[in-house]
Amino acid sequence: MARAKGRGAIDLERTAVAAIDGASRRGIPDARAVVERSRSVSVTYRLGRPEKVEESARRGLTLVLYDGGRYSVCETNDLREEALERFLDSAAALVRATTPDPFREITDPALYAGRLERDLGTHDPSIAALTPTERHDLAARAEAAALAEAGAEAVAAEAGFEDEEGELFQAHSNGFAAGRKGTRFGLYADVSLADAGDKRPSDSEFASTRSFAALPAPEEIGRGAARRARGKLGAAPMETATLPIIVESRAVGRLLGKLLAALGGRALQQEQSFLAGALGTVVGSPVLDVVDDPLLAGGAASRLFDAEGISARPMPVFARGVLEGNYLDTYYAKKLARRPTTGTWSNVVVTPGGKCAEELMRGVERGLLVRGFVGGNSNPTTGDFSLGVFGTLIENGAPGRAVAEMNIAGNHKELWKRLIAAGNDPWPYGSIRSPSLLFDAVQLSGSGAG
Amino acid sequence: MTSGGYFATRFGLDETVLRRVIARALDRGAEFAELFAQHRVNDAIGFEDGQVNRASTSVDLGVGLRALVGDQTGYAFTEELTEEALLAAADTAASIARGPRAASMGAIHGVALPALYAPVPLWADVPVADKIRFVERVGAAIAGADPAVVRAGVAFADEDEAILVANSDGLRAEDLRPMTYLYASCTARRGDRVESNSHSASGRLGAEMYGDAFLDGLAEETVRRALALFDARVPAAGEMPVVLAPASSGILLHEAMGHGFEADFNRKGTSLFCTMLGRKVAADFVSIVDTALEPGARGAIAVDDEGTPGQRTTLVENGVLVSYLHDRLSAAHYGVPRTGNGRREDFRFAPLPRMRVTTMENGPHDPEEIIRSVKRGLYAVDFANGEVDIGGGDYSFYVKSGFLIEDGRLTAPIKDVNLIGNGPDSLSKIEMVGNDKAIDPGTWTCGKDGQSVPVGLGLPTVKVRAITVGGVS
Repeated sequence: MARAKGRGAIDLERTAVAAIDGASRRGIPDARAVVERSRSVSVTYRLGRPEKVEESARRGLTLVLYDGGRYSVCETNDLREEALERFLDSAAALVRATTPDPFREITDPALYAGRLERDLGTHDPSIAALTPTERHDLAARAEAAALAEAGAEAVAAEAGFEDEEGELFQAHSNGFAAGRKGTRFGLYADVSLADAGDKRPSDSEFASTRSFAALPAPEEIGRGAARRARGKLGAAPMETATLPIIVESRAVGRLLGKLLAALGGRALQQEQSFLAGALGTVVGSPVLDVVDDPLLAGGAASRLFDAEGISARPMPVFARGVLEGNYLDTYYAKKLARRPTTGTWSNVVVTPGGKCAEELMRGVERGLLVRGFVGGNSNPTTGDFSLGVFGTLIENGAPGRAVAEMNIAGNHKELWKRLIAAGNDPWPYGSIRSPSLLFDAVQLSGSGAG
Repeated sequence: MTSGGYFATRFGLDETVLRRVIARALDRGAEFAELFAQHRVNDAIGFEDGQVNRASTSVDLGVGLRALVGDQTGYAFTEELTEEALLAAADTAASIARGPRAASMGAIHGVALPALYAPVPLWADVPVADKIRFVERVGAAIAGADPAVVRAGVAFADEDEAILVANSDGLRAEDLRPMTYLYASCTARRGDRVESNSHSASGRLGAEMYGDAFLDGLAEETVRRALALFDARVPAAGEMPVVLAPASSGILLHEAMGHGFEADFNRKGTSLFCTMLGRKVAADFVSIVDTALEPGARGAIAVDDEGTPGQRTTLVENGVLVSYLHDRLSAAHYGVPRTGNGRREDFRFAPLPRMRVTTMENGPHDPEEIIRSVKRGLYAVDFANGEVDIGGGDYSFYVKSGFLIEDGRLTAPIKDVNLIGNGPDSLSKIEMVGNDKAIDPGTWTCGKDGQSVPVGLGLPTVKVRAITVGGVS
């Protein structure tokens, strides 16, 4: 399939600078502009043929205006010159309609300093050479492998390949100007199997990488999906009890993300964080060692600067259980009378331990290997959480039957102190890069009264 | 506004252009082609620490082209509305097919649509100062409501959205949809304990939604919900009877059953409901509907995003599963009429079967009698997020607040607990259904395949014999 050609291709830098100039001409002293563009193609296979082929080309301008404490954020995807003039008029009118907030200021230019000039391995030029045939082939091979591995119990399988290339340019009225580009390649497979009654347990395997070469073989993805689905056959709840759990590496992000939610500037300043004032105190066991690393080579969220133009540098978040880092953007840092760090996570890297997941399991007499979460919630104000889980029973140090319809509950203030080991198996495909984690004594609810 | 007028007048998408672009999407042998145009203008205002602290606006405009061959889909979109760009997107979508032209463009005709909301532009004419007043009134009311309140937050948003669907059958439909929501949060401190809670209201309505009494009531309820948490405890873990309070408990239907009834999952054989059509799945007094026809509701749509007029679909009638939720692809697969559930987040996506306003109809029981029937269990009142595993049927939804039921009476307040169960199992364990159905006015947004759409839900008081409560010991 031919890609739609870049009709009316926009010059990102020129558009960003024009937006800043346009704001300035309208009397707005400070502004930040980001102009982005991306293209992606996705091919989905089912029953051995293409189910869906989608192509997309996106673009957009985000303009942030600061006028004596007045603040507005305006976005548009209509980048024609005459439309931009009208957009700037209404953006300027909007910011003037708001009330001044003494804490709203554009990024301190001192924070632009020290930006590294380094190739973070986020862009793979080989994307330009990908052909429609190759894309179809990758999706088809993943689906075929999934079906072959699933065998007679397969009731449905689907697989897909997606590639995306994006770039942006960011300009600020007080001296910041920089751009970046990136690529992403993704493969996935979903498999559903026939099970007792009407149940058709399904699971997926997926990978997402910055370079095409780093992607696993599609057969590995397809077979992985079938094996994971097989691991859910015959699933049933286990007893309500307090037991050790191992959270599989791929699933850790959902749990750790809840802890990180309490470290954002807004939550901290608005007293909606149980970790307000906890900097320098013990939050977890010494196993809890986490660094926010924007400079990770080939990382899903690697960057040299953040949305506010702040130069990226690694930030310890937890060092041997002690809270060391908060995510503070300019606004909330000012409200908290602190120095800004960055307002958004980059790559959240959990320090691995020495044991593989099987070895972690060996020390557990009875417990649950959590392979995924189903809904639930975590309250960042109090730290209370209650989350639906599924996975595999651990009996005498080995995996047993499939478990579903279970829940774990507790408070983050206690949970992370019960983290007793980290595996050596970090999941490499997301912005949260964690190995499997073993926790002691977690409240599980399932069948029967507590 | 006459049918076809908005996009023809503003963006030049007149009959001639529509015919040319749709015909191009048929060029390579597609059986069906469709153009979906969308224009949205969204404004938002935020309030925090006693003042408005942000205002934002976003403009989104584009056209998606879809070509179908059997159940195979080609999809492309453009954010440029020149004929050249539209034809290029049509070419891309068309390439799912590999043959000579097989279908031709039908004569363009309109379709009668129900009137469910005032047409846009509606919010474009409301001054920013008015919106700021809504937000400031709620923020000030929360902050001043009680000495324990330490933070008040408010987020307001409005949207004028216009869509156009035109397809190779010749159908052309436009829908001009307003939307607004107001979300309020309250954080309070007593001693060293801090609690926060939130409340919101949403609808396809204009500024008339925000009368002073409404704003004051919303603020009051937000504070009440936050303060109530100081007396609440996380309940004990385990399996127990659960009584769902009316309105927002509709999340049970949405997660436990609604998603499993979406026909794409059944067409592909991935839903555990895919073999259950015509089967008795619940007691006689259980009937479940999904409707687009709730005037002003967040999930209301006069027409779906592939041109099928808004309608009411009965899913479970007197306990029997009678229909899935269909879009064009799944209705063709099953050989049944479309149900108007083909929805999409925006023009960047092909439509999927999605819920609208999903509710259970009233049953025979008195709500008081339902509570009295429980020896020991949970009464669930406010809910947050939910999720479901379509194939295994496990669902969960999160109870923000509620009460214990002891010896048939509501006793200690409870908070922050997840309920987890299995869809068909819970459906079969519905023992009592009240006669007090209510639709929740909250800001519900449903996510599926990376697409978010606004939905509504509702329920009368319902008793489920046993659900696992994810509490603590």
